[in-house]
Amino acid sequence: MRRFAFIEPPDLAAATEALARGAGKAAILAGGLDLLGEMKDRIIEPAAVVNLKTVRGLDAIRFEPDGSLRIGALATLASVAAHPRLGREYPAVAQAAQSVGSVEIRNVGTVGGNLCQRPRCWYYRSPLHKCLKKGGDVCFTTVGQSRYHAILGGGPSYIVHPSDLAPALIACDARITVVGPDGTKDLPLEQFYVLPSVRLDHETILKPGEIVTEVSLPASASADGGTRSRFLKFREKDSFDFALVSVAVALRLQGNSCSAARVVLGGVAPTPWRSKEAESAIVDRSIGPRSAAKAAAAALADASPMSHNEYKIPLARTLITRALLETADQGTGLAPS
Amino acid sequence: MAATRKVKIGTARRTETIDIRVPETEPPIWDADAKLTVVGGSYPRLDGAAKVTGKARYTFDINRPGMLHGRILRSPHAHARLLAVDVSKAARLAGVKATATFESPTFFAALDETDESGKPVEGAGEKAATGPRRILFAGEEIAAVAALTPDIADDALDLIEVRYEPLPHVVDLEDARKPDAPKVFPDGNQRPATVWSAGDVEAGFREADAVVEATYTTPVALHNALETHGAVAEWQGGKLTVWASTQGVFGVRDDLAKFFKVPSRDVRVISEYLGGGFGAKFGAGVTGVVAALLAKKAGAPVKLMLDRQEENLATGNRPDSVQWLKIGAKRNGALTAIHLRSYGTGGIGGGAGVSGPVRMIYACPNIKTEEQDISTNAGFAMPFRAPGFPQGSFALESTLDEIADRLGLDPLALRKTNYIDRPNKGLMEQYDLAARAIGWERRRPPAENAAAGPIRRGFGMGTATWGMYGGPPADATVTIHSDGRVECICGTQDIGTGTRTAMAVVTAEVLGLKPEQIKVVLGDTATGMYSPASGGSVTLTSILPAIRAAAELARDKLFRAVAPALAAKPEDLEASGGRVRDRVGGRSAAFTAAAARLKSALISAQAARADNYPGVGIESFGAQFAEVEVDTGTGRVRVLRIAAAHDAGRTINRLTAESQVNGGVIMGLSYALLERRVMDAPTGIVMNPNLEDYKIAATLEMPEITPIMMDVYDPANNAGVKGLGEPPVVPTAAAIANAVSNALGVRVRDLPLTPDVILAALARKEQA
Repeated sequence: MRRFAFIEPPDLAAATEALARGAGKAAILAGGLDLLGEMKDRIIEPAAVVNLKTVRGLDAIRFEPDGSLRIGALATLASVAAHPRLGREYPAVAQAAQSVGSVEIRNVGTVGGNLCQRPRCWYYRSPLHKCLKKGGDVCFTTVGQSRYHAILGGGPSYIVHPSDLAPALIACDARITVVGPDGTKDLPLEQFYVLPSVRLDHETILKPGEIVTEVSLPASASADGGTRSRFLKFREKDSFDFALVSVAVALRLQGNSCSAARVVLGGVAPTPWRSKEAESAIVDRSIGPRSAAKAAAAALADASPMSHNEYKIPLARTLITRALLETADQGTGLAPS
Repeated sequence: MAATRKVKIGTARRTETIDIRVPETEPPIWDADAKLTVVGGSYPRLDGAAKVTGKARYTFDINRPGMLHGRILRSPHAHARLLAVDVSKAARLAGVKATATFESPTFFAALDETDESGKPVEGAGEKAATGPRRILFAGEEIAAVAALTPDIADDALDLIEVRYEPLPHVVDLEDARKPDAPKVFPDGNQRPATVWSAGDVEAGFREADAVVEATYTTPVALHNALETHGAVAEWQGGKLTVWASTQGVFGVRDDLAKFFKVPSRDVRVISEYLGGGFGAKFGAGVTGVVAALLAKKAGAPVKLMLDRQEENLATGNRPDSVQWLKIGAKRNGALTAIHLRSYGTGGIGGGAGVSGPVRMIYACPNIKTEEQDISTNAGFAMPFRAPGFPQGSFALESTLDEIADRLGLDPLALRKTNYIDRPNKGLMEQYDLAARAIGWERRRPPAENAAAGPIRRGFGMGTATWGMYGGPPADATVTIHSDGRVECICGTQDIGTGTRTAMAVVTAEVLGLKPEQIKVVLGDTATGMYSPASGGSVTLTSILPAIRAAAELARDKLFRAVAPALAAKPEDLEASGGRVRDRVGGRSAAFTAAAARLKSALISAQAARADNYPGVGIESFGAQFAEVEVDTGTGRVRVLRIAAAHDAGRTINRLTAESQVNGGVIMGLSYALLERRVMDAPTGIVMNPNLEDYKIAATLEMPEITPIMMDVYDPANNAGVKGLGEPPVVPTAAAIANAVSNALGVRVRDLPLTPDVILAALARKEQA
């Protein structure tokens, strides 16, 4: 790891200023899990590291009087997973936080860090491969090993977004707040992420000097019984692994009939992948094995597998089907049919 | 002089007495009639507390005054000519104390494996003595530095300027077999096939009522011992001391002596605690040599521990395999012929053979095996826990299950039909013990499981065998001090199996003490007490007979010293329960009181391992049964339970023996479900030299494991002990794969059984 200046700003203004001064050569430290990995593998070699943990007040989890929820960017994944009311009203978010890494990682990892983490792609992480995302001219997955890569939204890079929290938050209609040299922005989390066809060097709209400070969620409870949500994650092993495919589902139900739906996939595309196809297949229908399977098929209809990842298609279909059925209390999809 | 002795051998179910010829100096074999009070009990590791509290000092924990930190620069190219290496800028960096370059093609030649005639073993490396060195895989060592801190050493590596001429490479097994593939060695990539046969397989297939043939594949696996390779080296006046993470201190000593052209008496190698080896840590290796070289150049001790990436590039692996198997059987399941054709790549090394299980486990009159090593531009293979056996077992046991399904036979019954009977063999009982533990009667034919909904359950099994006997040279000393302290001394290393504790158990048995009363000295060539390397399951089989013999000699000396005080004849004395007792007169003395009678400060006795007794086969056996659950929607395999019945002859320490079985099962499960090295063909680089993408089963993947250690009374050696290091890893993957196939009603023929493999198998079934 290269030597770097370690900056401990007293407040957000000082932090954004330090980052802006670094002109792209300064990195943000929150939990540090991803940053340290990138620095050790020499994917990035920042001249300065700005420690956000010296800025007070960024780690709160707070319900507003109107029932909406604000989660500070420095709130740990463990605190999100353990928050009782959050767990009741946004189960998908709590389940996603609980599914990350290990106890140690959840105790250190932050919400902001999880949302802004860089891809796990082995070419991106390899110091020996100068891939598209690192300024090279080839996405090595197209000629090499693609078993953990994108089946949707890929090109020219085929990374998948590794965040578990992002699909769950997007399913629950989250917004994100970004503070930077030009002031404060507040936008739907879904729009925070951009495909590689739009931007190659980063997976978000973040510009140098900008800091994610908060995510907010609209009130979950409402007269018609509210929104139910669920997050399912599938990985090759349960001990310390990233998702092969994850799915977050949020449904507004009247009886068994779905009046609104959000279906967001993780691990299949360069961004958290909202499937409007699946959503429209299930809205205004009652949820059962057939309609859930139809929605799942719709979500994958446009999937285009690479050399080694075709398996993600049936896998994602299964997870979507099960998540829909479980969210609507229609069983687990696991019983003999 | 040899003597004929009567020995009662067998198992709890049946014994028989045979005559065997043993050297006269050998103590009586601990056979079925031996009444032992300490051996066979369950004892926590003597060093357990030290390990879990961090007091145990592994190589990584060794720090010497003035010690420097070494780092190695490695080739990013899979195949290249090394044109020039310039370390001058690195050498000028403040804090850098030594540099070394490895431009000569023969720089590490002294480490190459040689056959008996001294000729380098085929595929061990290129031997061209002239011209630029050819780099044969990404990760090969180019240069090294030693500096005051690890950070400075890292910075120094960046300053080394290397010129390569990249050459076309080949890393994929199938690509390497093509005629136009880049040549790894001048004579091509296909090494000569090894052919073995018994009987006539074609005739055997003609007699068969059912013939099954299929092709199986297994991945390259990486050892990934918890502790990486590494050493701390220190020269003092022409003498070298090395603390090494090694499974063979004497081998490291001899390698270093050869490389530095010093007498082996001037090299001392210490390995008191070792964080695993699994076959990848024989000899000094490049790491050990570079540590000592840098230390010599710098005139200061050097620590050189590899990081995980280096560990996974350049320290060994288990070759992959493609195995075509054809098996014929009669209607009753009796095998008529087995034909195996296989190839695999150990990178620039060899060792891809897989035929052991086919040749050793089941009775079959006609067997033919043809095996071939393929060279690729990848890191060399090293022995990996039961070399060739987990791969071979997977294909063999899978095909046998396929035959059983075809003939409508129970897979276990089919194995029993082809049982090779021998009096000193407990496998038949192991089948029954493990089958009962797993509840084998719950196994249903695949068609019935397929009606069970998305989550299917299945059962499978496989057989373990291993046949390395250990042997001389192995030396041990047992010392009794006049204050009652006892030391058991052997230079051997405890690879993690509990060698230290087993040494104490045997010494305690002979002296009538408790294991914790024995001080064990090991892991040090300076003891002078030779031991073979801890590989091939030969550590205890080699050293325990020597330790027992030494302990008996020391005990007899003690008896002679104490006999007058007890008014007894020395030959009437016995040591048990912490006392020395006169069997005839009945008088006794506490062990410490007896030791106090010594007329010297201590008595010491040394003994050597005798040759293996002629004419007795002493393989270890085992049977493993698996119960799994497969989610047909996701392709996820969960292993619910494994029952594993094994023997190691006479069990010395039941607790660590069971741990050994657990460990083998865990490693086999991980191999079955997750582990695979992934190579990028275009660049020739390993994509997962880390523990994120090289996936190893951890806590949440663990099944309920039932280890069953069975005693088999075997005329193996005077302690009646056989190897247990490798057997427990042999059939685990096979048992799991058979259980998965039983659950799904479709064969899974490719390891590891990741979701993509399972989902593809299910898709094939749907199409069929």
